[in-house]
Amino acid sequence: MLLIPCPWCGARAEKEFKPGGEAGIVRPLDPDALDDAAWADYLFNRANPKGWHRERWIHALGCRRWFNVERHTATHEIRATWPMGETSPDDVERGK
Amino acid sequence: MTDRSFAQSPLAALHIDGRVADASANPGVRLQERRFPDLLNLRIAVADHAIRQAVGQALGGVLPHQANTTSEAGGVVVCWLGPDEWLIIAPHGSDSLAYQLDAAIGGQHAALTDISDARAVIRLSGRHAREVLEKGCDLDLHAKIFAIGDCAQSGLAQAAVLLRRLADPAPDETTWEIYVERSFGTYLWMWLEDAALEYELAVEISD
Amino acid sequence: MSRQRFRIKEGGKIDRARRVKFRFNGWNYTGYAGDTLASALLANGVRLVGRSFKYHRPRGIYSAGPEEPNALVQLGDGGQTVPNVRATMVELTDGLSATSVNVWPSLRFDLLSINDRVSHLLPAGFYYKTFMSPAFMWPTYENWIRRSAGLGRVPEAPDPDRYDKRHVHCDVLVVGGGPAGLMAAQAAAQAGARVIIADERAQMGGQLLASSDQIGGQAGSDWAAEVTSDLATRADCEVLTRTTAALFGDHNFVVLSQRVTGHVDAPEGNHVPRERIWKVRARQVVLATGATERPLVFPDNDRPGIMLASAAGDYVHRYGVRPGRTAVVAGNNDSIYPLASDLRAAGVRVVALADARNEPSPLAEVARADGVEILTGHAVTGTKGRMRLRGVSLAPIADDGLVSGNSARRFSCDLLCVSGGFSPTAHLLSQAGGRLTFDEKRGCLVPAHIPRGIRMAGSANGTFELAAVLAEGEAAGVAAAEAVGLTTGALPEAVVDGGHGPGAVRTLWKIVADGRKTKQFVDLHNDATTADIALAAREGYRSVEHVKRYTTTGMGPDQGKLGNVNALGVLADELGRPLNDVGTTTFRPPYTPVTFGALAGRDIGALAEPVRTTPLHAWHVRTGAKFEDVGQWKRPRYYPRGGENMAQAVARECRHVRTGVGLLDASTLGKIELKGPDVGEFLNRIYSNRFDNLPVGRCRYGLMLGEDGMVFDDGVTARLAENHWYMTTTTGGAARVHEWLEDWLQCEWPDLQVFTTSVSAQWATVTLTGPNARHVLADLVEDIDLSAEKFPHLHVREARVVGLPARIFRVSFTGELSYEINVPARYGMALWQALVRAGERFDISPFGIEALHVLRAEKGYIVVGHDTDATVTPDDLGMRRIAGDKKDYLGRRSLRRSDTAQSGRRQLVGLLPEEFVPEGAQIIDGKKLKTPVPMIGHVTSSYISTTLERPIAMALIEDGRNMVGERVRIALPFDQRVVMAEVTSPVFYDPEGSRLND
Repeated sequence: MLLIPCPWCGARAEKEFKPGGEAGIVRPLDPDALDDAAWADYLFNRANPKGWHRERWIHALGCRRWFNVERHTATHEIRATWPMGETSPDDVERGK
Repeated sequence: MTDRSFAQSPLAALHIDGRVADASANPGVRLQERRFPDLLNLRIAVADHAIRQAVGQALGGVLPHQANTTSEAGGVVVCWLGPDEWLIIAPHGSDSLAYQLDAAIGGQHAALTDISDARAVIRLSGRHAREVLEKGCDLDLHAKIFAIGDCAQSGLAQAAVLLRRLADPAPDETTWEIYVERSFGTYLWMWLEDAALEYELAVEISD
Repeated sequence: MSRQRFRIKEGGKIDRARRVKFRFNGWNYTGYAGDTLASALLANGVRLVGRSFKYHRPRGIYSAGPEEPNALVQLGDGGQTVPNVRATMVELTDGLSATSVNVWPSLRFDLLSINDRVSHLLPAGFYYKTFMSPAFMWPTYENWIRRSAGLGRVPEAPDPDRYDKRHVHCDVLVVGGGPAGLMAAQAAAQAGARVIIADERAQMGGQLLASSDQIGGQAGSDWAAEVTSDLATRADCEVLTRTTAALFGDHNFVVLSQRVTGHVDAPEGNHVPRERIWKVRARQVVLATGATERPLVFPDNDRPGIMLASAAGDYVHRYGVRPGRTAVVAGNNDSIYPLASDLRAAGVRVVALADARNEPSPLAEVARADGVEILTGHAVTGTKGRMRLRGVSLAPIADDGLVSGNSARRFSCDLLCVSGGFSPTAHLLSQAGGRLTFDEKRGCLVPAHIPRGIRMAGSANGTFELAAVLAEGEAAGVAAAEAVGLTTGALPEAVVDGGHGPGAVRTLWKIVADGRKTKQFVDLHNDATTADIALAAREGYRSVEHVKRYTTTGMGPDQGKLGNVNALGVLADELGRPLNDVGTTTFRPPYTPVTFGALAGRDIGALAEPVRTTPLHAWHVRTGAKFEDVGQWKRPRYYPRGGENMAQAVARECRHVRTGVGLLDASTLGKIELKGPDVGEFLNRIYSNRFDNLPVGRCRYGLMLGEDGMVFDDGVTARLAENHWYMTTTTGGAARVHEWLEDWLQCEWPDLQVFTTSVSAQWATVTLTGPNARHVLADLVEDIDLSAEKFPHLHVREARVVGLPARIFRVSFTGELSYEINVPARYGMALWQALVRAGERFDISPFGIEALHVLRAEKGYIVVGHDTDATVTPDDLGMRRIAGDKKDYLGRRSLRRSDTAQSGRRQLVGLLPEEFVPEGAQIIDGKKLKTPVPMIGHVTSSYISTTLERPIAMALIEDGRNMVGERVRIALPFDQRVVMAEVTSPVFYDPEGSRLND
């Protein structure tokens, strides 16, 4: 069972959280402008890497905030978590 | 105004007060229902410092901004629930508080919601109170980590709860309040009773 | 009462003042407090304890610990019986009763030992090959295999014991209470760390309890006792004996299984659990899990009387038991020399010591001086004796394991102690994601990759000399404490006497003996032999994971504790590759079996799952309602009157609603308050239909879709004030919908000024419905006009009902005039009782969800999740009109995707079946029931309609709306027949809606 550092509440047991899949999937502003393939890409296609992965989690049994997690999908190591709408610590460092 | 005698507390069906006499002589754990506190859920946008300040003043102090802590003034306790969410716990009949808070909000964007009937509140205390909680809760409840005045939302047994630590009643005892959705109240009380059996249990008259 | 003929006169950690009586396979014996079942059996001269898994060969006690492969017993009787317990780990208690598992009909006369004689028919993977055909015979084969290979029996009565769980956090968790673990715990505790140290035995000390080694001038066991009592007095230190670390999970989450009662020194009290699971979250973990001695692989290496050398030492030192009268000691490392001396001191005649190494050990002198004949470069090449060991052959061994010539010497003995070197116990490390590599010099797999936050110490790390073990333990404890930010000091230095490790090891994976057909067991527990592994290699298996599964080596409850490394060595030899190229298998949790009782904890019986109740629950119970589980909720299904059965009660309740008035507890509905200036816009995006134009005081039915266009939830939302809205959801969708709203608000549209707050439990909700509903309510309500003109359908009013503050919604799920009355939950009972009283003169009746379902189905109202699954669009439901194209909303774009827009999709229709059909029944195309039958739809809801006096149903049928008026076939495959039904509109009753608008 993972220990996930909620950006607000600190490290809590995984069972307090629910996963929300890959982070950074933005809803198209004009869905009608997309053809079926592009819409399906937004809807269904996800990265699923073996390695570092940015994903969304909600602290469902805690503060009920959604946030971002950078997790290694093979080792489950968690490198960073940061609130929704903010830049990841990594990207801050790289000046993104 | 509606009469309190019409009102039923969330654990009324358990007839807790009728069982007080069964208490063990030297209980390691005491259980009690805290009935009818006034509970207000408050939401103010993270960046909205002006409303936060106004509401804090109306509460006679400040809104706790540190995660999982509480503030207390004049018998009213405010628990941090999230970066934009608090629970205000006031004694029964604090009707004027809601008006004061509404006035402080003054029609701006915030949400003050009465949830006084939405929670069962169970008070747990005694030498083994912490161990009972540890049977069903993942939080680190060590005295240095979960200090008096701290609060946290988490799971207890199979229910979602808000846990709040009160002042120690004796040097080797702790006291906790557990806020759980009303519909889970009976389940959680039964669970706590079962978990506490090992340490000898006393049911106390409802507050 | 038999005498304990093999008990040494004095010594051991047993309490000779406390005699303990026990039974084994129906015979009475006596042991002492502090014995294990295994040590007590050995003390009584019991050698034969079980039959092997596959060949039913006679087996004896092989070890003294959790690695025991043979002595598996069924413990206790009735509901408390536990199968497959290792006799080596069972503490002896008065009245204990155990039987051997896997014997039929009895231990001494086992019919299935024929398997051993016909073993050429039962090679590795035999059940994959032999029992494939004919397929219909498989149940017979399976029955035979199950009896033949069975292990113990499950209890058939309920377990009367209590089990418990506890979550704990610590800075440093130390697994293993041997010298390394105790040092680590001491070092960390001294630095002020919160420490938990766990050991599976009754006493801390590990190997120190089984040797004559000394630390700081005192016996190692005394040193261990001293350190343990110091740790136990510290405030933030938990010392857990009889506690096995069963599982190592992610992020240093370790599950410990503690035996709290069931032993001599158990705590007293009525409600003390039998076992307790500790769920530990540790910032740092020190694994000081020790090492497991490896067996030697040689012909017939499984006879009763053959035992690990360290186990023999254990029985002598810890339990004061002589494991035999005359012994041969054989091994490939230094550990056998002190053992030979210890056995002699215990009164065992040691006739020979075979050291596989050619170089004489520096430790040999003592043993030689004791008169033990030492044969270097020798190994065991065969054994004699069936029910018990009678003799062994020793012969010189060449480098490749070949027996040289005909030079074997035979020794009569009843005990053969073997040592094939030591394997660090790395199960937990492996579970944690660590990796091992083979170290030639030490002759074992040692940790190569250790994940962060974990430290290995002592023989678990391949460090075997006691002085080094202690130093490594201390270093691990210091490092762990420093890693959590604590300052450490040095512990007093411990001077060690004894504790030489195994020294250099000659690995020898098997003996290549003459052509005789003998078995060399690699995995005693699973009865896997060198021949099985050779066969697997010949058949082309290369991956060690495949060989494991094919031969079953290292599988099952044993998880390769003894056999794993030897199996890898044998396979490496067969494949002609270095062991490190062959790789290692992964150890799976649990390390040793955990009982189901412990895993279930107190989540059983009434507490198995939360029972959620409404504020009216006590009334329903008093009135004799029959309940149905709806998720975790208990909801009244119907309220039988007199002798009514369910059908009669439901029919009557329906009549009350259609012709008079009924009362429903709807408190389980999800309720969410939404506040803010942007709620209208937000709801426009969340619901498929428009909401921003909803006037204050009105409510509207809405449909929520997922982004894939499929119906996700539905409900009625009201506008209470300009910026104050109130949403209802399905009972099951309450939490899901709230999270869904917050997801979009927090992640996608943070610019929208909307706050949501769940108030599901705040309000008790009572639905008053039926033609007389207005009359009942009129007597109770103040402040408002209930007339259809002033308070029409789909409007909301705040009012006082019997003086209680209420929100009243005119919404209807029955098709009749309905008021959904909400009061704060504490007043729910007062409201309900007032309505019951006021309704008496209208013959009001409460009705349950069964009647509600009939009533709503008559109206064609769907229940999301009942009439829909995750593949149903609004158009499929005939709700295109509230899923338009004028504004964007979640899921809208998906409705134009080729598969959602195509014709021929399953559409919701009504059915008039000729008789009642079960929900889920398939609607088929064509007359024949022979598979494959083309299925064109399925029944989603099915009831006997009281109003229509006939069965009705709702169904999803391909292109169903174009089939209205046609007849379709509903298959009842178990009855081998079909039921005909006419396709209709799903609205069976009052299609104009005049009744609900009344």
